[in-house]
Amino acid sequence: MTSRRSFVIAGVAVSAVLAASAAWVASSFPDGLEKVADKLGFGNKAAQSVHTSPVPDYILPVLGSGPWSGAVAGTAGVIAVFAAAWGMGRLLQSRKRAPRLRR
Amino acid sequence: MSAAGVGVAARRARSRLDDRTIPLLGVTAAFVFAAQMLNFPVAGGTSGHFSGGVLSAILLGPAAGVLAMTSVLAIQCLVFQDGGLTALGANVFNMAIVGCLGGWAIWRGLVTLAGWRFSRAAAFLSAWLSVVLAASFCAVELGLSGTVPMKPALAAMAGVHAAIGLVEGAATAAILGLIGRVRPDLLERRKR
Repeated sequence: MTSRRSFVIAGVAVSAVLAASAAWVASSFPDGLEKVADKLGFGNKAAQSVHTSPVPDYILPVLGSGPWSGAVAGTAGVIAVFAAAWGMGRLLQSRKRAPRLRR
Repeated sequence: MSAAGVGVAARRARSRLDDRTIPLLGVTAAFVFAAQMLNFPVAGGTSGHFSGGVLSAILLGPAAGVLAMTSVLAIQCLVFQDGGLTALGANVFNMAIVGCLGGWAIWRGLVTLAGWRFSRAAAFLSAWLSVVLAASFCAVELGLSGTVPMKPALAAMAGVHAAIGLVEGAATAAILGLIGRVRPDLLERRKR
């Protein structure tokens, strides 16, 4: 059985490799929703974006629009999601502990 | 509505979050994010990608599963502009609440009926259903918002996602099989 720490590290590493490889291997066909939107003609009805993203469409503007740019963006995304989910867990956990201390 | 759902999930997940489950929450979310980037071609010049709701719910429990899916969708929206900020609520509802909780309920029901031996077959079936369900909810929402006529949207969304869901189901069952080998303890907790 794999230890807890190595499972977490391996899981994040596998995810980072998957996300990076997506830049080369992922299909660029429109996905299910995009295809239906095209077919039924509501793709152009998407609302104008209300905020500006630093990394629009998984491409880092400073690295151009090649696959490497997507690979770096994907890897960074994996780390960001891991950190966000971890942070949210910690935040909820510390709120649980607080009342216990007061008692 | 989505905010309320995620709020309830946060409250329920809190009692189960500890030093063991928080890293798992992070890894599952990171993996789902990565897997959602891997679009695979399905019939007719269309692609699909993994969604991960049922996988997260089985690994983390339904409440923490909703949280993992929500964090994936939030990062996609805020950092990568994939799914607008104004659509985040609907995306969370369809993929985190319908896809994750709905899929979980189906999985739970199937396992109760058929027994733990069939847990992976149940995972395949419930993952497939969760994708079709989430897509159908999305079509109904588009229909209700007047963006597109309801009937053709529902037929097209459910149709395409019936194919995409097969891959979702197969991937969910395969990943659970792998995890059952390296970390059987993670799945043991779902037997009860």
